[in-house]
Amino acid sequence: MLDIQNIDVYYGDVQVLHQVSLTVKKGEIVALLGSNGAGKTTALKAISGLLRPKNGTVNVHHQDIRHVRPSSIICMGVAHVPEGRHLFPQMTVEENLLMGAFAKKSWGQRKERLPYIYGMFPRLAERKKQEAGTLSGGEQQMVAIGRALMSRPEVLMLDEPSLGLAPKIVESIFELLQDLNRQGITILLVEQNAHLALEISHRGYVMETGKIVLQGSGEELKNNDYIKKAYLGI
Amino acid sequence: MDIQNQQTVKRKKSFFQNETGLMWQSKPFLYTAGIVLLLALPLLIKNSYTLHILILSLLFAVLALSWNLLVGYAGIFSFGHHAFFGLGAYVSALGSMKLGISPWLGLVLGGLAAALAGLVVSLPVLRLRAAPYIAIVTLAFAEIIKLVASNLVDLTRGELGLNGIESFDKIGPISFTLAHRENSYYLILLIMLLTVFVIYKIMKGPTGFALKAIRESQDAAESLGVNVTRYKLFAFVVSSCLAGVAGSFYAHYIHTLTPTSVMNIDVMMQILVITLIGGLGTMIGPIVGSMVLVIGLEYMRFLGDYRMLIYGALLVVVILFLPEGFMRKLFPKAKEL
Repeated sequence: MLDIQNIDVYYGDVQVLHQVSLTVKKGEIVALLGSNGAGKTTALKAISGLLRPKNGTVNVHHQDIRHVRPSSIICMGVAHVPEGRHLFPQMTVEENLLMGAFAKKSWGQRKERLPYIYGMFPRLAERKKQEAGTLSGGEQQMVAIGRALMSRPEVLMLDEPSLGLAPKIVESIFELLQDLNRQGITILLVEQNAHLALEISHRGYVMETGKIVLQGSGEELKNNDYIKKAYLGI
Repeated sequence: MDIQNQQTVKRKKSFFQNETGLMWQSKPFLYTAGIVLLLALPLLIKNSYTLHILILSLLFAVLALSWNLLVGYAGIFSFGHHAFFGLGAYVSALGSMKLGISPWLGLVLGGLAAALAGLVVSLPVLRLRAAPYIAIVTLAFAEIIKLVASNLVDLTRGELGLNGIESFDKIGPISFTLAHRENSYYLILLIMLLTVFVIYKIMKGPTGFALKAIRESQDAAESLGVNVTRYKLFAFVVSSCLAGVAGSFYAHYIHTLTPTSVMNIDVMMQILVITLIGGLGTMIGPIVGSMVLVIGLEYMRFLGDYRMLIYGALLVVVILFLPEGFMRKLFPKAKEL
């Protein structure tokens, strides 16, 4: 589904990703782990077209997307939930959700998609006329995920969905991700909370200073000594 | 039976009371009343001085409306709007004086020249994200345009200014000379209504949605596939174009131009204050603000030297107690104004 081979990404002259390769197969939950500044967010941005790799290939459905516009990449079924949620604070919950369907293909049917989202998050239906900035952190994360789902994605990329949320809410968000996965949505999850992420992931990659240093199944990584020491604190 | 009764009661209520509250506060009623009042004003006011003040306030309404599209809706903090106003004025005036181009065509040319300049300025501006940098770049651009206008003496006569700029040509019996101010009034009213219409259409469509999203969070808009650069460029060009049209009207109405009169920073300050008083990011706030400010300032002339002092004090009071502007204070429940 997603196939990245040996990409180098630069911010100006500074190289941030070195020869990063990762694949996500249909129906998987894949975790991308690593500490601050390891390049996880950069990798996501390279997939959604917000950054362009200097070398290497990025394929979605076996199609090279290095020259495809971000809005077209969304139309190909890749949705991106940015780090820190990034809602539109002074727009209502419903307007926020509708913005999720902005990529051309889904804009025409933006209203038909709402019931599905409200079915998944009844809480948002209650608050649809409320300004998004007034919601709690957990509700805002729901809006961010619901907004990304508006474009009917096949792959959902989430950047730190647990950031700044209470443990209980984080748990329910992760349950939701598993639900979505069962419905057939492929998930690429960037997390610092390695323990939780590996709990639900089929496979995982670990990044450090712009390189992939480890990869394996969720179980393998959880039992890896290095991971235990560096990320799980055991 | 009971349910039926309730329903009738509900319906009656909704006739007199809509989401904004009382009927006199309903939007269609207010808008119609406003337009009728604006149309009738020249019939009620025969005093040409008062009419002149009204024309200026409509002109500033156009400037504030177009600036508001950029700042209030798209969130691009431009402080160079007066440059586009001045550019439109000079292009149109010079076109008619040197090349004999009809001022009517000048309205279009002034708008196009300003739009083109807007395109050029927006290229560096769109690379900047932080409001202060955008403000500095646009302000510097405006200063450059003004300096060019005052130093290009061969063409613009510098600070001596252009004099005797033609009026708009007659249309049949309708003349636009200073003796027939009421016609100029209707012309600028038409320009203003068109401006409102253009901005309303933009904001109601997907483009408006995208602009608001960009204002709220550029990162999020980008992640949803909004082509941020394209929409910002669009807002900048439309906004500059409208200011250029206003400038062209001004040139052929006032008949005289100097760099200081159209491109000094106080023009920008006035646009800014008008928009803030009326309500940033509201549809008709800039019009209300313009009426209040331009007319208010004019009628404070009896204060003599103390006028600007009192004006400053009033401004502080407004910022302190009406930070969201008049429109939101008057109609707190209305979502869009």
